[in-house]
Amino acid sequence: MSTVELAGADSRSAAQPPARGRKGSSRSTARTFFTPGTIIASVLLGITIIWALFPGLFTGHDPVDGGDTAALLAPSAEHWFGTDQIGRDVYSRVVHGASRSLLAALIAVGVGLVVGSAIGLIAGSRGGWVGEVLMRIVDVLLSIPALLLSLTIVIVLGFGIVNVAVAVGITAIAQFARLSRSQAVTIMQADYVQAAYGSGGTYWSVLLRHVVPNAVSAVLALAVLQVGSAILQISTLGFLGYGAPAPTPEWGLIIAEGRNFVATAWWLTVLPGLIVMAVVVSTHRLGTALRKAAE
Amino acid sequence: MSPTLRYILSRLGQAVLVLFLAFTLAALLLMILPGDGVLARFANPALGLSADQVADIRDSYGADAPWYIQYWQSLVGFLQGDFGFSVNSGAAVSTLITAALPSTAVLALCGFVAAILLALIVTVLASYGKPPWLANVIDSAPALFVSVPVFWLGIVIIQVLSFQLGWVNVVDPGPVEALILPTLTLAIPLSAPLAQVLIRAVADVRTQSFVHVSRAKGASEGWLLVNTVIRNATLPALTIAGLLFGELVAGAVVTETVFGRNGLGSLTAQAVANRDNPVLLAIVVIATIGFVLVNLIVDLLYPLVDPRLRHRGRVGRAARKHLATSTADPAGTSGAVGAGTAGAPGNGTSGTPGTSSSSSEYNPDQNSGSGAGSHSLDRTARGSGTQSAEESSS
Repeated sequence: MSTVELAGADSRSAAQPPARGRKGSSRSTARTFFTPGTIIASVLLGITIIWALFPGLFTGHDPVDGGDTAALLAPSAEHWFGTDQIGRDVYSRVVHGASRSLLAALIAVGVGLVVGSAIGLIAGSRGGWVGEVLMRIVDVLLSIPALLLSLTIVIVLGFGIVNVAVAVGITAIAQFARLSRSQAVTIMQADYVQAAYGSGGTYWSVLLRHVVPNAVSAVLALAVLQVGSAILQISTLGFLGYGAPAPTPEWGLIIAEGRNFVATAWWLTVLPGLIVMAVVVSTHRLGTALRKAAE
Repeated sequence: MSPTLRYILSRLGQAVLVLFLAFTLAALLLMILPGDGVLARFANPALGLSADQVADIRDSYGADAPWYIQYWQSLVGFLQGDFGFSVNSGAAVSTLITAALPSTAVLALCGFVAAILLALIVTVLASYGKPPWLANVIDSAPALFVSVPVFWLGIVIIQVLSFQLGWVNVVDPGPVEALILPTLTLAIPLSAPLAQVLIRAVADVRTQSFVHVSRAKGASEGWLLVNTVIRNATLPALTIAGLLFGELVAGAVVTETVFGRNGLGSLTAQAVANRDNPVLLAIVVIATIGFVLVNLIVDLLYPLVDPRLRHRGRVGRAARKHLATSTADPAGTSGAVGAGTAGAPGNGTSGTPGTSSSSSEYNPDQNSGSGAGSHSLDRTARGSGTQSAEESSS
């Protein structure tokens, strides 16, 4: 009976009940989302993004060429984070490094998001041997410790920040696949999916019209969470020397270059590290809040 | 007994299958795909090798054989403990690894024990600390520790403890002194997810009615902490054992590099820097064996730690029934608490990525969907364990 009724309605209206339910709770969600913690996190992330887009607005110093500035100056009004062993302004290097580190993190999360979600959505909506095989691949990806998996991929692809980003992204595939699979499994059991099939929907139309839109908020929340982990992993690989080559301002590399001066020039490592930490904490905070809002 | 045995065997089979596939993936990436690594390294004219010598070297590495022969030979070799030879130094990989292993094992063990101690201290202070604001500050510490770049932490620890305060000598330390700072560096990030899970678990357990009953009967907070709360919090902590192993591996690589220690971690870093694929392959395979073993052991331990899991079949329901009958009985604590934290559907256990439905999470017999084998990996989903653990603390 219900199938007959719904057969006339187009599948978009069949998808509306869950969408409306979500809209109804959005006001209270917004209230719980904007806590002091998430506001501070948003501001910090916002500053970092502007650093990445317009580094020239924040610093007049050249990040790569120190010129005739004295080396190893302590932090001052002129050089907020001091200068390094060849007179480069460390604050300027951190600001200019933001674009590289954030872009690399976006590439990494993008790889994980696209590949992982595709695997997970197909596995969750198809089931059967296709789903079984796909999730076994995910199991294998998960069974190799993340750092070693990314090192394996870096050794194959070669060094460089884009390759490092791709390697980190591949380690994130498994998580996106698991999340989107569980989302897809839940969604496929919903009445509106049954209705969409009943009204003549094909597998792909149901997948694109119902499964993907309804899974997207949870997956995006995970993506924001992953940005922080990606920044952390990329800076680790950069520190180990597999990322950008030497003069490039990249966060992990900046800290690696400063470590020979721990005894004399603490600012070379401490201040850039604090920035990395603040950005990672902020994205974790926001991602966690978004994930709660998505639930 | 028979279903138990079947469960153990099926988990064992899954572990072996995953290991085999992981080896295949790593071998494909590191051996087959690069094509002619030997030629690239030894055909360099600066080495002054004649064509015959290069041919000999190629022969000794088996580089001319078709890929499936190479794959088969290395598979057989790995099964026999022969990991081939380093492209960089020519030494047998197994020799390199046995030489590096003890130092890393000591470091990992110290770091792990220190992390557990640290996590327990943080948990007790965050849950019972006074005044409340101090407890709150400590409560948010793990979220911060998760976000610390380990390499940076190591450098800062050297800076503060060694150069500023002069407590530990890093320039010319004795064997024990040399272990202090790396252990600390390894332990702090390792303790964070553990502390997050424990804090959440303690908060859950403390609201259980059997705790109120015990307290009403006159039990002191200290007695409660040791006898019911910590005991029941160990189960959620077990769920992140795999995650901790992964952190330990990553931590060892970074820590040994920062502190200039010789070990598996620095061997890994050098292998990547020198493109020494055979060495990296061996390390990846060994670490994966460790990782899969940890997950296997945890899976097999569950039914021992949590009596509810000895019920076969619909564990969630059995647990809830258990909960209904035994909440007020402190003797049945583990059953009751487990049901509260793990059995409730849709209420993700701390440490378990929110992606999986927790009511079936602990059901060893469940074979639908991604299969029981993947559940152990579910729990260890790297990163997301940290994140969901972080979520639990906020």
